[in-house]
Amino acid sequence: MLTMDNIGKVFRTDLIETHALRGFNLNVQQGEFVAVTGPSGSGKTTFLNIAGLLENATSGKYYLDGEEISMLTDRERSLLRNEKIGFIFQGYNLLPDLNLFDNVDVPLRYRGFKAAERKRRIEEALEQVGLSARMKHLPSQLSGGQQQRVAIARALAGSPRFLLADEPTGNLDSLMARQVMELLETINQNGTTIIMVTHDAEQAARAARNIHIVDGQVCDLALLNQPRPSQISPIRSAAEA
Amino acid sequence: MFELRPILSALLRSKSAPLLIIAQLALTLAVIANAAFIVQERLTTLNRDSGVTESELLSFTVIEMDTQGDLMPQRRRDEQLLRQIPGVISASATNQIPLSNSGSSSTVSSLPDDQGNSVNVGYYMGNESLFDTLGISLVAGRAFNPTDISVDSTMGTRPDQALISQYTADILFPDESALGKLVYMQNHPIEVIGIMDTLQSPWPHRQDSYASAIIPVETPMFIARFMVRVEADAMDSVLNAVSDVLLADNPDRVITGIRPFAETRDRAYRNDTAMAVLLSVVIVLLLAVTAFGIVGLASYSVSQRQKQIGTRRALGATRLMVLRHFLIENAMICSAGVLLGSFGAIGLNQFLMQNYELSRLPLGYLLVSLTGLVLLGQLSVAAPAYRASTISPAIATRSV
Amino acid sequence: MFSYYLRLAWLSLKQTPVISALMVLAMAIGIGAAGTSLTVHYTMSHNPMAHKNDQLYAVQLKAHHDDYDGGTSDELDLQLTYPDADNINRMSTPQRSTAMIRAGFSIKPDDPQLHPFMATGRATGRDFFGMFEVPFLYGAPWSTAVDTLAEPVTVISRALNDKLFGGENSVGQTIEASNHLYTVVGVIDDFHPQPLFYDLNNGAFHEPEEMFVPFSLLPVNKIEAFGNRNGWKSENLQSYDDWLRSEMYWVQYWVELETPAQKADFEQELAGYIKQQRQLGRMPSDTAFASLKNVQQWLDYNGVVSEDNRILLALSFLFLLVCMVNMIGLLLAKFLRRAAHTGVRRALGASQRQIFAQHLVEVSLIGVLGGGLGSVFALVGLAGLRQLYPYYDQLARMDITMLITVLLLSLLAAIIAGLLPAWRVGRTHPAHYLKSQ
Repeated sequence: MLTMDNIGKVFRTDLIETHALRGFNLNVQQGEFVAVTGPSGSGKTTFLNIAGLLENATSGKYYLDGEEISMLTDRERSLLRNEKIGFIFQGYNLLPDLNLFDNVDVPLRYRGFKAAERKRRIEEALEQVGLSARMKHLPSQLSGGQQQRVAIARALAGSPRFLLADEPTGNLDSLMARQVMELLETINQNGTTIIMVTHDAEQAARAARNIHIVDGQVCDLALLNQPRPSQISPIRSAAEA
Repeated sequence: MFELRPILSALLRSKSAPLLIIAQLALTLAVIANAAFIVQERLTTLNRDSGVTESELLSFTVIEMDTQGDLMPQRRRDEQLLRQIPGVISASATNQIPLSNSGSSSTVSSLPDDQGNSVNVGYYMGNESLFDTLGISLVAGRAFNPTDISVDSTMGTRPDQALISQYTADILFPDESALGKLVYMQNHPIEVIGIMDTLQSPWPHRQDSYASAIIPVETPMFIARFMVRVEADAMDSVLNAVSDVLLADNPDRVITGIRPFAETRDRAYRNDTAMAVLLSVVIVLLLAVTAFGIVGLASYSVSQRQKQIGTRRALGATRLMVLRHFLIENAMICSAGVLLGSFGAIGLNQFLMQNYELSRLPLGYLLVSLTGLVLLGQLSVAAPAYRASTISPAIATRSV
Repeated sequence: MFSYYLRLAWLSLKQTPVISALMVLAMAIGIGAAGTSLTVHYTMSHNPMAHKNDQLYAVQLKAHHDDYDGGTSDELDLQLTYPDADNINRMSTPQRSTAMIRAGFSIKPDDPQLHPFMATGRATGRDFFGMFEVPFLYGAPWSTAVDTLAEPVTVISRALNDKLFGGENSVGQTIEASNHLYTVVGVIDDFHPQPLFYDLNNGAFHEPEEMFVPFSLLPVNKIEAFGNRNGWKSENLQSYDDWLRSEMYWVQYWVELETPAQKADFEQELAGYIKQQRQLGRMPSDTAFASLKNVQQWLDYNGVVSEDNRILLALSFLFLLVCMVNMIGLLLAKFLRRAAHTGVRRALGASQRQIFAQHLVEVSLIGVLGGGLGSVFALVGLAGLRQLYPYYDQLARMDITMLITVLLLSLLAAIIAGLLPAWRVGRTHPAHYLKSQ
């Protein structure tokens, strides 16, 4: 469902050119749980930005669900992001002025769902991460782990095809990190593809597939495990049932 | 599609910045609605019709050195000399010039012994030519004949007939025609032989500025005003000729204040013009300051919320949605500001009404001003909002 | 510490040039508007006789019946009748006093080539020059005797002396004015009281008259009044003498009373005079009374400060308030953006008070810059006013007092605007900004 073909990304300033990615190839199947590791500055974040349609590649082709996206307008890419991709950030990136309900509501608003549909999805998503009792709380009233769970609920509420997680446990202590990882695994088992950038080898090991990026290239594609077969009931169908 | 409620709840939580814009807009609205209203009132005042053919009139003052002799022959000769200047249609000596803020007025009443209706009337004195010189029109009755004119060498004027303005007639005889009626000036009966359409007194800022009369009396006072009606293209040449022509006949006098009527009008309404200009400047500067304020605070808010905006973009907001977010947010703040400002505007208007001569602020001014301010807010926020829409969604994954 | 804060403030302004420029500009515009209207108001409300305020009094008498209204707050007319002025002239209590009318003279120059011209004039008493502290360039006021003997003498202004006599000492020369010859006894040096408090009937802001002649000459030379003349009674006035006998209001009157006791005595004397006149059949009102108003009361009573000016003053201060609110917003934005830096300073040992002081210094710097620029704007505004109102020529000028006032005003406005933002930033919790960001 996600194919990167010879992707390159160059950052230019007046003085230097930096090749964040070069000749980057990757193919991710529906239902995979992929962990992306690599040293600082290797290009992990750039990969994530391109995969999540946050940035455009300088060269190469990127197919999402068979659609080549470099020709898409910003608006089309925004809509695609909204519909197909869920984001989980290291810093949670919850909107501090909005309560949990409204935070989860943000992508649904952009999607244009009716109020009743939004309400149902929000409550379900918060239910799934175990925070439905705290809907009216502000992010600042929650612990880090709870905030990250809200962020996951926000990512899930729109029933995306895949989740992009950027160091999702980077700001969390080990107990909370484990809870978040277990949540992600559950989600993956329900059929959602997950790509997770991490520097934690232990967490990477829990993923079905590991990708190591060094100097902007996929260095070692060690397929330690075979990709899991797709589960039949992804979260969306579960939600619609 | 429009996320009003979340924007509102976010606004309610971020305390000071929107509050300050609201306060600023409220004050601005209070000031500009009233200032614009005052400007409009002044413009109305200074555009009122004086009733005379202004574009064809010039006036000046003659002060004779000899204050005691019989000046009547000299005055008649002066009128003759003026009429001989090429381009002059008519010339008359009189006691006062419309809008000049200097002249004679007296209380006139509809019944003797100060009974009945009364009004303070500015009265013009002159011979039968004055009516034509001023170029006013009659709505009823007739103008003076040469036989109506008398000469009175003192200020104790006792005319038998008068032309009064429609304004005067309406006050003295609200329910019937004033034509042929007697009116009383210092208890002396005067017959109304004609009613003039419009003739303003010398005092444009008096309440009864349009209460005026012409009486058929010539006064050989040592100081006389002359009104001269000229063909439009002869204005400059006549203005230049007046002094030489009259002094050539008799140099023992002072001729001063030779000016076209347009200048008399400018002088009469100078304060109103100045007030209108000053308040307009205040309005423009105030709008500029307010717009700068909104631009400044919105820019700050955008740079402060870069990460949030990036996150929204990452979650699928299009550029247009981000743009709209800021426009809606600004519209909400501005609406609150102008709502508060409406009360402020009415309050300030009440204060001005109590302390100064100002009328009640019409609701229309308030509506136009507040709509204008909301539009100004939208315009001001456009640039920062556009900048917000260009923030890259990739900023969401940046860790600092 | 102050110079350190000042350096920090300057650095901070340079770091955010746009927002700093906006703040200075907004403050300058607000100060420019407030400074302009404040200067005009200050000049308009000036009392040129403040140092003698409680010694100089304008005199009014109610000679009319109750149906007449002089159009003033106490319904008195601003002027007196000639008979009353003449009678008060004979009263003994006032140290100095003068009746006067505004006049105009057509002056015939000696040179037959020149046309006659108008000179503004005033018929008044000798005491006018002493009471109102008129400085003399040449000669002196006419003698006390002239005030009763009515000799044709004159005191002329410096400008008229320049025009007629080329600025020479003209004492002893004669002037032909309105068909009478006057001998010059004195030339006035620079004398420009603003507002021209002693006769406000025809505007408060213009030059004093050019030619002063004895009031005692009125019946002799039949000097016509150029000012207002108001009547309340039907009278048949056929001659100048009729005017002098009439109940018309056309004469102004000022007295100098040195002590409150003297004032009380004079009020007593006037009350007695009214009683006597009523017995003679004048002053029909049962409430006939006399009023003495000192210079400040007289200026207020005549409404010297125009309504327009008060409105402009009020609106311009509201304008300044808007600029201050504007500045509070921008300052909050600017200061809080720097909250992280402040957190570091706090961690390094700065107290809340020191952070507060640092930011107040920065605000004051903006105030001083805004005030400087605002003063320039005010000067431009005043120049504009002089264009709009020609008679503001004297009025719309800024002196040192006003300049300092305007600068202090801007400093004060900036500090008031800066209090909230400086307090907010001083309150920032250091740990909050040091943690992760």
